[in-house]
Amino acid sequence: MNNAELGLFTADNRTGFKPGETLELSVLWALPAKPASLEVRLFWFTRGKGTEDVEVVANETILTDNAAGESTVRFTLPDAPWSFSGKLISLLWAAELVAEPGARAARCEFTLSPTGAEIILGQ
Amino acid sequence: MALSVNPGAKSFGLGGRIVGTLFFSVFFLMGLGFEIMIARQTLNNLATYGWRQAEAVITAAAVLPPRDDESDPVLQVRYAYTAGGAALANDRIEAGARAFETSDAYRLAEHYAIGKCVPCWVNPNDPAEAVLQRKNPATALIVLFPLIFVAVGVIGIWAMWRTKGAPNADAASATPISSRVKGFKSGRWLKAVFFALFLLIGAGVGWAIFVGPLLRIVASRAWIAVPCEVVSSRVKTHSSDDGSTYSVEVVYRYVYQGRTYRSNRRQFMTGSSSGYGAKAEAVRRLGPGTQLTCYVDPQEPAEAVLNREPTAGLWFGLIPLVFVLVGAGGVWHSLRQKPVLANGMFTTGQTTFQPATGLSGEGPQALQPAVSPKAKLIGVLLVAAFWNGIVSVFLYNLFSEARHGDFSWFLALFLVPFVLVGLGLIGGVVYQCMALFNPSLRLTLRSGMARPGDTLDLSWELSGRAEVLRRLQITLEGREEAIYRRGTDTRTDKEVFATLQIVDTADTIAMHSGAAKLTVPPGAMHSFKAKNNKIVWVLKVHGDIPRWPDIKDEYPFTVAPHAAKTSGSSAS
Repeated sequence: MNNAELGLFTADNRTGFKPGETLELSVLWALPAKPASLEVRLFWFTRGKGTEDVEVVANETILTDNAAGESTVRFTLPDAPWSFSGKLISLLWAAELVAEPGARAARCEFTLSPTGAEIILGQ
Repeated sequence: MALSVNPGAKSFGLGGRIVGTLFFSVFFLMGLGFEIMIARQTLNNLATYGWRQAEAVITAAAVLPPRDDESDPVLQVRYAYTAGGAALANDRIEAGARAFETSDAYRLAEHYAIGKCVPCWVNPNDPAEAVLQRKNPATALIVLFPLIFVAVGVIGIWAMWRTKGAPNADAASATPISSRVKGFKSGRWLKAVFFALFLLIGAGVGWAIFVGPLLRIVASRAWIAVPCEVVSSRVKTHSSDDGSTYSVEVVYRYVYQGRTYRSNRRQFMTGSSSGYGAKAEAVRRLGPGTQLTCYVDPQEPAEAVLNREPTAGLWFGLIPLVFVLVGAGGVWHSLRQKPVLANGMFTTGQTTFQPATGLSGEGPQALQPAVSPKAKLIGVLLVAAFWNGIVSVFLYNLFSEARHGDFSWFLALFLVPFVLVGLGLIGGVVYQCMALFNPSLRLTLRSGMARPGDTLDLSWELSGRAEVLRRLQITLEGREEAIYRRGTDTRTDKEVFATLQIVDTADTIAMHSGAAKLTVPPGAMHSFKAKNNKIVWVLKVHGDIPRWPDIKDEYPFTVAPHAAKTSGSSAS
């Protein structure tokens, strides 16, 4: 698990994906009590010199009556924006499992591009 | 949904935090002190709106002359009224003001002349407490002003001590990055409220020192010209931490419809400025007994003015317009931000590609420059007009006082850098005017959408004075643009990651018109536009013209990602 209570994994621990591919995520949770909400979010965000931008592109709510359990979530990945890294900016894709209350989260980062690898600017 | 946060902000050390906290504490404490003082006065005034109205008879009224050069005359009034069956007397004019020192004392003295019946407001819980007038409830808005200082202090201290999230932490971080999107809406409204404060303050001050006097100037065109005699005149000193400024105070007497009035209004625009000599000279010319003409409001004969023309000082009243523009622009910008897509190019779920400028669809596409020569000229012209307009007011003041032998060297030296910037801006206007006569370039892409690896046909054609061009270069450039904040500044850093020479020719015929192949590098990043981070592709044109502004334009175009499939999600 990514932390003591929540886990989010890609199938085969794959980290590189192409646009239009299916991102299959295994979701595990073991919480002290039944969560008020359990949601998997697909999003991209930026790192680097610029102020961070974040955009959630899709989300999937997991309906559960149990404090612990597992599930599988699938997203069809959009064609853009691609993962890239430059001298000023990097763009990363991730999926996050968020449990409320308490905003507990597990995150799983991956790259999205036509080759499945991060585009390095200037190369 | 999208949100901007600033994880890249530098973390402060303990020393920096303490110094920063002390710095912002000054803002906070000053603002809080003013806020408490103003709020107390405002509440006292608003409380009188719950008091009972009664009729008062003025039993005594007098205007005491100013105590010194820095004071205003003092209005003293005593009035009798009946409340709860008891005959009472009072001398309070406004809430919190017994000795009523005001530049309006002479006009008010006519309003509260002995024997007049006027309304007063009596505290039902303590009938001995009464006032003759109440401030407009709208003045309560002034309590918003110190809140700006309080807000700066609180936000500054919070920024010093806040614990940063872990945006650069590894994937195991328990902080949900995706949750930062939720703050977007409230942040938007917070910004709107902040700018609304600017707008309100700018509008309020602008009304008080520009619109109000202007309306009175217009209304006074119908006032009656009446002879008047100067009773007294003086130079009034206005002291502050930045030094003293001065104004001319004249009390004059006039007779209208058989009754004698006194007034001290010279003009509708009030205020003071540096330069004692010019004011002293004006006072010398307006000595007691000087015969003048004043203008009297036939509806309210206590209202009079010596000069009903617009004065140069009136234009200072346009300065709050900057606050109004910043406030209105900020509110508009804050509210128009839509918490939907970060880039406006890709829609969630269906990932539709919509280029903003440049290429779209199939067929020849004429590219547009990022900023046209006319737009550049208008931009620099507006900045130059605004800057030099304000500087010229100070220059006018400086030279008009110099004519009276009161040249302020301090003000002159202070103005030097501002004048130099103004001259530079005028130079910029001239430069952009010259650039308007440059040959204009038409760039056309003959192919459809550009995607990484695509080769496009680019053609160009010069019109106008093409013969003046010595060399023409067209370059394809890809660059990162990162917007971030440092303190109160918003900065943009740019980093070029791809430069491809398309055209570099000094041949007269080739410069006039031609065609070339443009290949977007395979594996290149597509255009990307979020709020603070961008990948920009442009065609840069540089036309070298000897002894004349060069052609320097950028033609943005969009590199699209490869075609996509529809996205979706499912859980099992």
